[in-house]
Amino acid sequence: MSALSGHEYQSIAEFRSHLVRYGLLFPTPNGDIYGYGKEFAEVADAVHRLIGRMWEADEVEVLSFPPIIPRSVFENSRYFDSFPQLAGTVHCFCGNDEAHRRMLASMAVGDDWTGAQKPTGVVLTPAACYPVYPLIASRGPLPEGGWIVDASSYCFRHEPSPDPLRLQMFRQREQVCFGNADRVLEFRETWISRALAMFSTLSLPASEAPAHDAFFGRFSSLKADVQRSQNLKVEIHLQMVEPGRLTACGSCNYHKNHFATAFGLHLVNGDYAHTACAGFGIERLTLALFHYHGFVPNRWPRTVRDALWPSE
Amino acid sequence: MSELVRDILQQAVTLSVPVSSLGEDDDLYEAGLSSFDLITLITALEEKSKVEFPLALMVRETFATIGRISSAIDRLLREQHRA
Repeated sequence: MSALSGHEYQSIAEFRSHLVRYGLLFPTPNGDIYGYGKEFAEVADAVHRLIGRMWEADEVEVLSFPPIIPRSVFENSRYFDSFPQLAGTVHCFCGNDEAHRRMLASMAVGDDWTGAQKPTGVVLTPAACYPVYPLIASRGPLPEGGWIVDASSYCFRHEPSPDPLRLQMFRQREQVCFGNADRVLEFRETWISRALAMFSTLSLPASEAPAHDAFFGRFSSLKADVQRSQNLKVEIHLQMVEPGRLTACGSCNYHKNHFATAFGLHLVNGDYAHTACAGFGIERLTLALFHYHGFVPNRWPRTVRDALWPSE
Repeated sequence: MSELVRDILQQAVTLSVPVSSLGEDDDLYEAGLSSFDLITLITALEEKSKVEFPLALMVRETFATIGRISSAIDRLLREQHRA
């Protein structure tokens, strides 16, 4: 049962049914990709703007990107080392008329037609911060005191599921900090506090907890162990539909000098920079609002509406 | 074995201190070895020393110091030799 809305549901499937019934989500035939109704989109946009208002006191460079990055950036980031199962590479037909004819014939009879697809020079963006690192590195050494970018992008993770809390493509808004270790760790602490304050403003009972990423393969538990022991990842959790199952709606990460060595990010003194980011999944936060406050935004608590639409 | 481990650390990962300044028992994680570096490090160790770390050794402690890495590889080589 939703904590505040009074809607009764015990499972993700029932939650999803409500979202569909209220015209908030429109499942496509596969059932794991959604279109969004007007009210969902309005709340998602308001959440997006609310995150932006949280850094108003900071000096921040605002950037938004399409959901693709150059393949070279993807390769340099070494995302494939840790998450090959989540990455989405973009392939296209690059053949001649004969290859086209064969591809159409294969498709017509339900055979595999994908052999004619070749990799392009782009890869789907795994996180909104990925296009930021090479851009900042291209400018030369960081300014004294570091730099902060507010980055937005649609992101892709190959995790097909009808669960609307686990979308394959979703909007992410990330604050990315560049500087020395002290500077970026201070940034991360600030954003953990800001995130908890934002969730509180939205009457969402969030908590923070050390976490680790979903690493791939035989290195997974080792990497998770090290990531956790070095406190590199802190997630902002909410109890969502299923009792006892926490859902991450925000993530504050310290990368040490990983992206700096990958892309050549330097401090003025020549040392490699350190980086940290604070990211929020827009759709997940939006779904949390519908879960906690009900499926009709007009009936949400005044304080929540004021936080989302302050000029109302 | 220790020299091989030092060479690989030097080439494969970026630590916050020179590898030459590290003792056998100095904590590599404190010296900047991160979760991002581990695949590179382990892949290079396996390739150069011709061993494969079993899942049981895929724990944080195995790679915590140059001494522990060297001991683990020595043990794996001995087991390989016996088999």
